[in-house]
Amino acid sequence: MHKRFRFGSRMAALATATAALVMGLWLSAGTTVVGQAPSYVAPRLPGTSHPDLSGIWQAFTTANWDIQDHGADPGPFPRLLGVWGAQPPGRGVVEGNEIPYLPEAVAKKQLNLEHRLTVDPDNVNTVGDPEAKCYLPGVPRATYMPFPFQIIQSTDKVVIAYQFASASRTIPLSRSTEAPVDSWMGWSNGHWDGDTLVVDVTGFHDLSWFDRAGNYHSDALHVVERYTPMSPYHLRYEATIEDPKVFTRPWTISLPLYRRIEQDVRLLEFKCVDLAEAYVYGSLVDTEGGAR
Amino acid sequence: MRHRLLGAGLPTVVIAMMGMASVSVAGQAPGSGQADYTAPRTPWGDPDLQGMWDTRTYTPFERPAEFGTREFMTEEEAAERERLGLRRIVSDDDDDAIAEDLIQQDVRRYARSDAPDDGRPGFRIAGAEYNAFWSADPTSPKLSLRTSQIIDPADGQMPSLTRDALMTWEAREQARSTRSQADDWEDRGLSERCITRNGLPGEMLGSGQQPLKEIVQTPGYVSIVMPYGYVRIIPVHQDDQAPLGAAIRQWNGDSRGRWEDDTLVVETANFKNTVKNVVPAHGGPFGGSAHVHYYPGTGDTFRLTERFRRIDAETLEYRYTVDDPNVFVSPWSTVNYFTLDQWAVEGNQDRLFEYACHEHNYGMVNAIRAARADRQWALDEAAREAAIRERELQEKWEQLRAWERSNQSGR
Repeated sequence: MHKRFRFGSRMAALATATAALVMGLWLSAGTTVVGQAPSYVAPRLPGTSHPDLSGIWQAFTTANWDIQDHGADPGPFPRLLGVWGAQPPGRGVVEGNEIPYLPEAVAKKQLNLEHRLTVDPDNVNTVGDPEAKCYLPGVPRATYMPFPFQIIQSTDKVVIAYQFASASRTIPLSRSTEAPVDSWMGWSNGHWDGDTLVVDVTGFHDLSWFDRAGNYHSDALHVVERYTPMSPYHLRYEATIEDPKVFTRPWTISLPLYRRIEQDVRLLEFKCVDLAEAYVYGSLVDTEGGAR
Repeated sequence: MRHRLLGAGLPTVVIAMMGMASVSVAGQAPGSGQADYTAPRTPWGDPDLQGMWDTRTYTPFERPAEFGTREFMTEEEAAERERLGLRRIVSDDDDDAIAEDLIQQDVRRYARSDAPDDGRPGFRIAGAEYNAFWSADPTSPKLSLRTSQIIDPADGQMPSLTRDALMTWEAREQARSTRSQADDWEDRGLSERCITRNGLPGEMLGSGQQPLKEIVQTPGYVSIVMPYGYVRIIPVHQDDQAPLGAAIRQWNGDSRGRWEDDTLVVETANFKNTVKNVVPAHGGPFGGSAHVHYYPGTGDTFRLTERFRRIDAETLEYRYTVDDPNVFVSPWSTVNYFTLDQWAVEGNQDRLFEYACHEHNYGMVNAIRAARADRQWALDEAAREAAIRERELQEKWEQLRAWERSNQSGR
């Protein structure tokens, strides 16, 4: 095989067929939608009429620190970590930069922020940022964590495997089913809206966060994600977030996803449990009694 | 978890189905398949292995002594093993025996569900199945008449561990001898720590709690959704991609695949070699039967080769070969048969449910606290477990010495 970027062979295989289609669309494209690349038509997954979104993707934003606008900040442990632990500045990914918390829901966000690196062995999964403990990141946070993820698209099912914590989701496309019980990553049902993969996610419990700033949700969370190909190298990602227990109205985040095009790119393993155990359980063994 | 039962809904249905769950021995000896069978193709032309596969097996990992050199048992022998209670799922952990016991407890409690509550906890449950909910599976794995999963060596036994491996094992026991059951988290097994169940290849075989694997394909990749919280992503025929360097070690290694006719061949290396856990109860990299939980770590020289092939419309033949010269005196190979899960085929289950083990691991908190509350007790328990392992270690030394006597030039 010749050297190529990861998407190369599939692109090449479909190039001829697609080129004709693209030319046709160029000629017929009367209007353009702001922010989209109207001339781009993604290659189809063979056997389907849908674009193939398979590949290794990654967000390049600082939204995992804070999905709203945020300035540079020394972070929680400047004396310990120097600039390693500093928060980089970033523009938010929330449309309008406002998260419409119910008045009574604001205090908890603030509390989360203050205790984001608190570990309470009696409440391991209700206090502190789940990310620090290597807990499943939830949706949409999994998408914009600073780790790649891989989309494996088949004809009637999509699997998304995230590097962080080896999280994953299976997204059936043919039929919607209901969550049997609440979970961290929710219950996903997918369908196509033109060339956009729409994923409706419910069945969350209230334990995951949106970011390190403590933005949160309840078990009434309902996320509708939209993945739209913008170029061979980009997907537009949008997620509408609805949670009447916490927010006054639905709100939307959007950000581009970038294809990882390195020749040897792989989704490496970041099963981080053993990296987090000292953090989660350390206080228990620091007490007198046991050997360490 | 076993999502199937959520779909089944009413506990009465569950109980009824459990009652029917006797397995027919009826002449099933999967393995031959249909000689003229051709696997279906994906639209992009690859053999199509997709689906929800029941990966449990009743076949003993190593051949029981009574079968001598015979590769297959008779149907009468299979029926007798069932009568003696010897036939149970042996594939990925010994929790299955516990699970079966819990199921029977729940059955008894459920039978008392209309009785007056006498106040004893657990005396009765009224419609709220708990343990059976996690473990019971109304179906049974397909029965093979094979006498062992191991087909090479021909005696059906796992080869001897090497001298180095046994010395590593001993050193671990020595290091562990002053530690209690839970001086800290590393004294617990990898399974309890929610890191791996028993690693590859053992995790490829299902248990009563986690029977299923789902295969999903796209051009250039075969993915296997594992029930233990990760997806195996296998690039296929991506030979232009450089192998991982030796510095990158992963719990589940790094897999590369290729098609050989209708067979998916997967080679996996780069396994983690820094397991500090002195006794990975449940966490030995070579699962497969109830007694192989204590083996020393591997990684540097472990190469796993797997072969997946559809042999008829509902059967996936799964073979693997373990080659790890630091640990075993010779390579060894197995065969198993996965069955297309009819519950899923009928549209009742469209995915595996989230694992989320570490996220709710209060068991670890409690284990560490308990070992502090009564350290002497925790030390005594650790010593009791060590004595069990010591017996197995001595058996392994005897096996090695016997092998050395018959092979003057071992590796």
